[in-house]
Amino acid sequence: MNILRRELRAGLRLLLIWGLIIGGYNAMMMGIYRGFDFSPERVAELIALYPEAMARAFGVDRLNLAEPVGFYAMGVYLMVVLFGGIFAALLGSGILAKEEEERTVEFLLAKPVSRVSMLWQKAVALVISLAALNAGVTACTFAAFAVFVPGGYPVDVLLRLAVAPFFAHLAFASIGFLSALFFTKRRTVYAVGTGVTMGTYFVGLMSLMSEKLAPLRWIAPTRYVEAVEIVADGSLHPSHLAVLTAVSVLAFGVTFALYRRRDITV
Amino acid sequence: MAAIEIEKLKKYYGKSHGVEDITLQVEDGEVFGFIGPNGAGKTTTIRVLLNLIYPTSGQARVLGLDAVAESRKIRAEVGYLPAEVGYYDDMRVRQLLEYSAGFYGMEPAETRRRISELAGAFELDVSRRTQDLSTGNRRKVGVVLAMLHRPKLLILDEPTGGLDPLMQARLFEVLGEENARGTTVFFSSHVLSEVQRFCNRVAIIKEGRIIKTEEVSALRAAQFQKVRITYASGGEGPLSLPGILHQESSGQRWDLIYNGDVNALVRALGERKLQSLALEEPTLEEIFLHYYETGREPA
Repeated sequence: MNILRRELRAGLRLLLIWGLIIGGYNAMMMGIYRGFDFSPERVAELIALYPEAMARAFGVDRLNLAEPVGFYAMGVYLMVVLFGGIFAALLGSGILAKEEEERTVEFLLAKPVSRVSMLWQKAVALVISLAALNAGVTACTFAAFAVFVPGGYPVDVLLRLAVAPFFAHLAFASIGFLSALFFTKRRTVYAVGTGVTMGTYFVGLMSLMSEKLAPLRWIAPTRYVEAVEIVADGSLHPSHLAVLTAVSVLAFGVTFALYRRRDITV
Repeated sequence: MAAIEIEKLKKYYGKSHGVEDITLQVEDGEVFGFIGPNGAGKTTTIRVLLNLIYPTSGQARVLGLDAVAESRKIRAEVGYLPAEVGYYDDMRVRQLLEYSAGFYGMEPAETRRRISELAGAFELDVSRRTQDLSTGNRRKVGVVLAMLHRPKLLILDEPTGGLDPLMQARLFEVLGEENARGTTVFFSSHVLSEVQRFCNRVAIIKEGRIIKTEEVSALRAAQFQKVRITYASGGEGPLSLPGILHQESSGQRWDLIYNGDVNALVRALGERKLQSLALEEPTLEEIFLHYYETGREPA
């Protein structure tokens, strides 16, 4: 458990910073919501600003901007998924890559700890960090709703929106974890991690705007935790979460399998 | 039981140097030197012992345990100093040492005692941040890390690199004490003289093969000197003296590799008119080139 403890401690500051930024963003946006004019005419005006394809992609047509949860789903939620996704990718890729880049892996693997145990501890540290990030952000979100939405809101829908990003984050983290086997420089692996997060997101977005790209829709982890679907369908879509979990398990599994036979030659 | 048994070890990987065919045995309680020029395969061999890399073929046993299958057990009993060490930048030396001790299940009180004992011996300030350490101090931290948990076997990859002569002497003093307590010491080096002084036996590795394993007493008799003579005028012929392994000239200058009585050399030179004379320890490469490769036995 030495490595787990060490990783959690070493990652604490970064976790706090990202949690505060994302949680703070959520709170700030709900503050803006409070001061906004949501007369039906104004909302219609806003929606008219979107070209039709974009309106569909962002779910403007299926969400009610005037409702607090609708506003959150459209204007805030995506940032939680994406920023959290970037944090997850950085954390996941860095947690292995840093040991090789700093040559500390030779220190670590000279200790009486098996490689599998080392990976387990790092993977668990990742999951705990992501869970903590999401819990912190969720706390900020609910606090912001309590302060800025005095009229009440459907708690179960907001709760679903709070749970879903974790699964996308886990997928991004596990892909980063795996990519650290192939890119051992942190600079490179960070670029790969954030690239995968943002790249798949944009591909997913494009696929919603263009029929031709529609088949690519399922490449993006973010599409599996789409706010529109969660709010409009009133469901977390367990099959979607299962896909993200399977991707994560697979990426972790492949990392474990390859790392066991890896030559450490830093 | 042998502390280390390596049998027909072969390792190829990537572009880096591998090892071709290594067979050697280190007995329990020995101080064993593993010498060879840079790139000969010393680090590769050592990494196999710790299962940092997997052998292509052949096998290694450490403390009677299989280096691949039982690596975790091996590492509990081995102290390892890598050739180049990396530490966690955000830690102080004491934290790093305590982190390491935690893996061996050392009691906090015992850890503290051992840290102050070793830090004292190596004059190491454990309150420093690891990222602020000089090369020599990083090395000392590595040495202390290797010895901290009182391992049965110390595997040290070029332990003297980066240490000043005073600290090198201190290192071998401490290694001597550990050895007297029963610790086996296996260390690599590319400096013959330190191996000569501190080892019982030595294996010489070149281009991935062991070219000789011998008692150091045999090597101790050898006194290799690299001699550079500049004569006052040209036209002096080569010296004829037993023990000259190699000599070559360029103008008034002669370069010799000499393995013999230095008095005889000085007497022979006394008959000639010199402008300058320099004696130094030859590098292992030079010794190999003119000694082991020509197949001459030690004088």
